[in-house]
Amino acid sequence: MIFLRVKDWLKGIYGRYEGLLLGILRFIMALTAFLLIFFNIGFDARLNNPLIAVALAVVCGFLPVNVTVFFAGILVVIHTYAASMEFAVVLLVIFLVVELAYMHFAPRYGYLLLVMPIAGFLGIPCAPVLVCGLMTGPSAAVPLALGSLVYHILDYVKVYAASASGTDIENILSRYQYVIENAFNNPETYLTILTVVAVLVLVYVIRRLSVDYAWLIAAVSGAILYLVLMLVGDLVLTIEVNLVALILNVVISLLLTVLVILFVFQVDYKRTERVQFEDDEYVYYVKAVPKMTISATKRAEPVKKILTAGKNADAEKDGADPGDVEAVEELEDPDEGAESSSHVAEKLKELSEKLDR
Amino acid sequence: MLNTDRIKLMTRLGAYEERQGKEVLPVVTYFKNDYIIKNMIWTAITTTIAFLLVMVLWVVFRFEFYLEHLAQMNLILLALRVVIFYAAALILSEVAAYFVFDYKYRRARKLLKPYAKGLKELEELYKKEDKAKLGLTAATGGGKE
Repeated sequence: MIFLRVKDWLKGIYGRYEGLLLGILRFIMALTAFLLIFFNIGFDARLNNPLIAVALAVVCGFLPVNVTVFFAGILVVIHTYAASMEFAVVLLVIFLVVELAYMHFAPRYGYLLLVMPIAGFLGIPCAPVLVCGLMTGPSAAVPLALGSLVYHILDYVKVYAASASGTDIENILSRYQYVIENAFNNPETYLTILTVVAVLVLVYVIRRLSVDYAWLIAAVSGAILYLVLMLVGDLVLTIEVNLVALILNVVISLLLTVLVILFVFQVDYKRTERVQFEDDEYVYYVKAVPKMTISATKRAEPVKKILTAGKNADAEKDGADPGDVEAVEELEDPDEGAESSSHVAEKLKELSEKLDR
Repeated sequence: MLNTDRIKLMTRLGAYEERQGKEVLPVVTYFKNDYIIKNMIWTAITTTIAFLLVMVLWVVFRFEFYLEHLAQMNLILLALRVVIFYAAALILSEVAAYFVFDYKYRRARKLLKPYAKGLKELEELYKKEDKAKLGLTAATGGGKE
């Protein structure tokens, strides 16, 4: 009951303040990304100032999310260049190849390139995979996999970038080879990419099944598969995986996914619309504000009474004992309250026809 | 006198243009084949540039090997291998582009249907208003006479 009221309240908030909420969300995501960059790979002292992160995040709050991805990419390359030119060049080439080869097909998933490294540095890389499996589809596999690759490269840069030195050609070439080999020859990276793709596909397939709570089954199955694949990979490839961190990652990611789905994506809200148009006589500036829907639990009560009364009347006409009337049908899913208004209207019409006979 | 039905309909159409319309309308202004071919050409260009970048990384990575063995290598065979890899990458990306943009175009046409229906209704409303105005003009003109 409380959950339904919270959902109704959220519908109103989302509908009225969608623009502001999205701006705040973009600001938070940008700020998180920039601060994580500064704290993890902040090698350039000139840019290592939290105020710069805040200022950039404010700008990104007003712009589409792909601009945040662009700024984050620039910051990563600049900071990495301060530590090692070779790493910076390799990262720049990766970003350019991704932009050229993939973004053309699905530009709206560009932000996942940023979300995966953020989730990785926060210790919950499973969460974006589960949420994308439930909300998008297999087309998100490429940015998620590339985001995992970027995260592993940045993690490597954190540890080894500062050890590079020397400016003669032979040294530079050997460093490039060292960087490329270690960036792309890491079995943990490929294990993570394989796990991400497998979990995404599994969650997507289960979510589309016509069973109750398919989304919850999909999320739990995806979390279990993630854990199993990482543990099996740990044994087969003899990688050192921190078991406690892995379990925490899976559990927290699953909880976050459930919360995000319940309170964000399953709240079917109508937005406030602002449109402008004109005809021969007037220019119209229209603001359409969604109405608050009445809670379905309140609507269920009058339906209960009307159906009972109608059925009792029928039973009496037929000479039966009103006590033999079947139990009144109730709305099983309160979320169908808004859609059941036509159902109620049909029922009322049937009853009025019966009573008129 | 404001026609509230027409205003409601135009508001819905305006809201559609602000939301789904931004994704759908730029697509359906093209014919299907033109849209797919335009995007396939752009895919070919971006795939070529991406392939060149990856080639550069690969050459840097294997620079010492090529430097040591360049004199003994069959350069024509090497060039042929590069061309085969490029052709494979291009074919894969073009096939993917064809299916992706074909799907996008069909999806955009499907999403356009409610908007097209709304526009027809709007056209009908305008016709009714024009008829009503003509009728009113004839009536007042006849009255004055």
